[in-house]
Amino acid sequence: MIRLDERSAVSALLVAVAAAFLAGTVGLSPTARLVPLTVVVPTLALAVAQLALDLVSRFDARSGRHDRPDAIPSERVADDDIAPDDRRRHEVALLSWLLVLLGLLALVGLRAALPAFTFLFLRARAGESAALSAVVALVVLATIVALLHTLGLRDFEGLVWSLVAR
Amino acid sequence: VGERSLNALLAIALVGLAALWAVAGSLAEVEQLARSAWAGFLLVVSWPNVLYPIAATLLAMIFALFPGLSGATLMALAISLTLSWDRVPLVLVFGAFVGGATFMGSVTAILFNIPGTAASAATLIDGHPLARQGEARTAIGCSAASSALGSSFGVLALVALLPFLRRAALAFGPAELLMMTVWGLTTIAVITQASVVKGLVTTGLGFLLSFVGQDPRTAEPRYTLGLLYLWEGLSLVPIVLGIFSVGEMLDLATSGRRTISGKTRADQLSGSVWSGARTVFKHPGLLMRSSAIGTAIGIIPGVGGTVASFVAYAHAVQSAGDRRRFGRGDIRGVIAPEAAHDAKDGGSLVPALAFGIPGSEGTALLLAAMVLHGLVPGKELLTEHLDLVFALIWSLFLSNWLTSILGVALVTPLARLTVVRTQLITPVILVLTAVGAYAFRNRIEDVVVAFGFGFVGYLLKKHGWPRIPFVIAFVLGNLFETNFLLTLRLQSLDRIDVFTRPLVLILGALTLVNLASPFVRTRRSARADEE
Repeated sequence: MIRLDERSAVSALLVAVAAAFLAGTVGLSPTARLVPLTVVVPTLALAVAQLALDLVSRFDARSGRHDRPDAIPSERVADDDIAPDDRRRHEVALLSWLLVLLGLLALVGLRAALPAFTFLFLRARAGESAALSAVVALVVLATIVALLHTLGLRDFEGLVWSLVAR
Repeated sequence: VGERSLNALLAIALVGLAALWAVAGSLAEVEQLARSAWAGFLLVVSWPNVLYPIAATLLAMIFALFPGLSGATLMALAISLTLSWDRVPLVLVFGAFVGGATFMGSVTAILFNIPGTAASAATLIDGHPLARQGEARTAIGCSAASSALGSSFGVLALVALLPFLRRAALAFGPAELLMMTVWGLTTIAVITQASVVKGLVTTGLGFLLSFVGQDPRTAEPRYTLGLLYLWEGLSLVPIVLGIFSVGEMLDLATSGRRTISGKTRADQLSGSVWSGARTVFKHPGLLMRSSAIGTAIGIIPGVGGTVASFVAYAHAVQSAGDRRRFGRGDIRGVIAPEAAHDAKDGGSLVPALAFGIPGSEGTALLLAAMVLHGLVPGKELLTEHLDLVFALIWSLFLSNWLTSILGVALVTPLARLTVVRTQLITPVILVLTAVGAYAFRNRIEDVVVAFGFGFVGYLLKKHGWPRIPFVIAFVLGNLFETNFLLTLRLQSLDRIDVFTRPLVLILGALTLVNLASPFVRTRRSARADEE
C-alpha cells in the first residue's frame, strides 16, 4: 500500500534536490563535473531508495522493520506530548514570525529590525509584559550596536532608510 | 574487542612511543627540548605575559557564546590588530584563541543543542539529552573535566612527537587523506542515526552543497543559479547557524515544552558539576583512548578536529557493553567527544608547525599570523624558535585549563538557562543568529541563507534525517574533491598505486566495516530474537 504523508514529502523533496544537482552537472566541462557526478549518482539512488521505503507501508517505521536495534537515536524529535494539530499550528505561527523577521530586515535594516522583532515576538507571541519586552529589546539593540562597532561592520540599512536617504 | 583489551593496546602504543623515543631520540635532542620547554614556560608565566593568554581566553569564551562567532572569527579580526606586536605576545594570544573557544562551543551544544563549532556537534548527541533531563550541570562538569584532561594528553603527545613530526606526517598523501575523509564520514553517517541510508543521503547532499561556486581548477561556475552571491560558494557559518540554531529553536518553540529542561525552577535541576567531573575518573580508559584518538586524528592535516570527536564518540559506543542509553543522555557520550575534541588541538599543531599545513580553520589563522611575523613553519621554527613553539603550546595548555575552570565556575548560571522559558529564549537566539550570520561576511544574503537552512534543518530533524553528517560533509567537501582529483591524477600517471598503499587499504577496510556493521548487528539481533 502506498502511503503519502509529510515524511514521504520530505524524502521526495530530497530526491528532487539530488535530481536538481544531477541536472546541474549537464553543461559542465568533464573536469568540473567529475567529482559532483561521483557523489550525486549514489546520493540520488539512495534518496530514491529511502523514498520507496517511506512510501511502501510494509516498511513503515511503526512496524520497526528497518529500525536498527543498536541505533543511536541522536536526533529524535522532542519528546513532547503536544498534539500533532497543535504542533502544526505552532509551526505555521513560527514560520510566519520568521517571515516577519526577514521582512523587517529587508525594510528597516539590522539595527531597527532585530530589536523590533524581539519586542513584537515577546509581546504578541510570548505574552510578556511591555516592560520586560522593551528591556530585552534594548539589550538586543545594545548588543548589536556593540558588535557592529567592535567588528567594524557596515550596518545593513534596509529599503526604507535607503529610500529616505535618496 | 573489550574495553580491557583496548586499554592494553593503548598502553602498548604508549610504551612503543617511549621505546621509539629511547632509540631514535639522542640525549642532546632531549636536552634541547627540555631547555626550550622550560624557556617557553617562563615566557608564559612571566609578568605581564601571563595576562595575554588569560585575556585572550576570556575573549574567546565570550565570542564563542554568540552563535556563529567562533574562535576563528576572533583570530581573523585579531590578525590585523596584532600586526605591530612582538612575537611573544602574538603566539600567547593566538595559542589561547585556539584553545579558548572550543569549550564554550560544547556548552551551547549541551544547553541548547547548538554546537559552537562543527566539532562540538558530537557532544550534543548525549549532552543535550542530559540537559533536557535537568542534568546540565553534570554534563558541563563532565565536559570541563574531559576537556582539560584531553587537552593535557594532546599537549603531552605533541611534545613527545616533536622529534618525529616530519616522518609521521609524510605518511599521509592525497590517497590516504581521501580515504580518511571517506572513513570519517561513513563513521559519522553510521553512528548518528537509525537509518544508514538517510545518513549517507545527507552526507551526499552536504558534499554537493560544498561544490556550489567556482570549480577550483577551471573556475567554471557550478550550481550558481546565475546568482553572483553563489560564485564564492556557500559558507559554513550561515549553514551551521541555520541547520542547528534556527532549526533547534523552531523545534523547541513548536514542541510545547515550557523550558529546555522541562523544569521551571533552578532548584529542581538535579546533578552537580562535581558528580559530572567525577564520572570522568570512573572511565579513565575511555578518557585516555578518546584523547589518543583525538590526538592521532588531529595530526592529520585538514581532517583533524571535525572528524576526531565523532570517531571518539563512535568508539565509546562500540566499546561499551551497554549501548542502550547512548543518544538518550549517557555520560560516556560526553566524555569521549570532549576529550578527543580538546586533545586534537595539540595534534593539529603538529602538521601546522612542521609543514605549514593547517589541521583546522583556527590553526590556518594561527599560521597566517605567525607567517606575518616572520615565523615560518618548518625546520627553522622547530630549531631556532623552539622556545616560541613551546610558549604557544603552554599558552594552549593554559587556555584549555582556564576555560574548563571558568566553565565549572559558571556552570550554575549557565545551567539556569535551561529553566528559562522557551518563549523568551527563542527570539533572542533567532536575533543572535541573524547577527552572527550577517557579521561573518557583512552580507545580508547570509541571513536569508541561515533562515532558509533553519527551515530545512527543522524538517530534517522532525523526520529523522541526521543533520550532523550533512554539516561535516559540507566542511570536508573541498578536501574530498581536491584529494580525489589528486589521487586520480597520480594513479593515472603511475606515480602511486592506491591498492598497494597500506594506510589506504586499512582505511578502506575500516570504511567497509562501518558500512556493514549496522546490517550485521541487525541480523545478529534478529537471530537473537528468534532464539
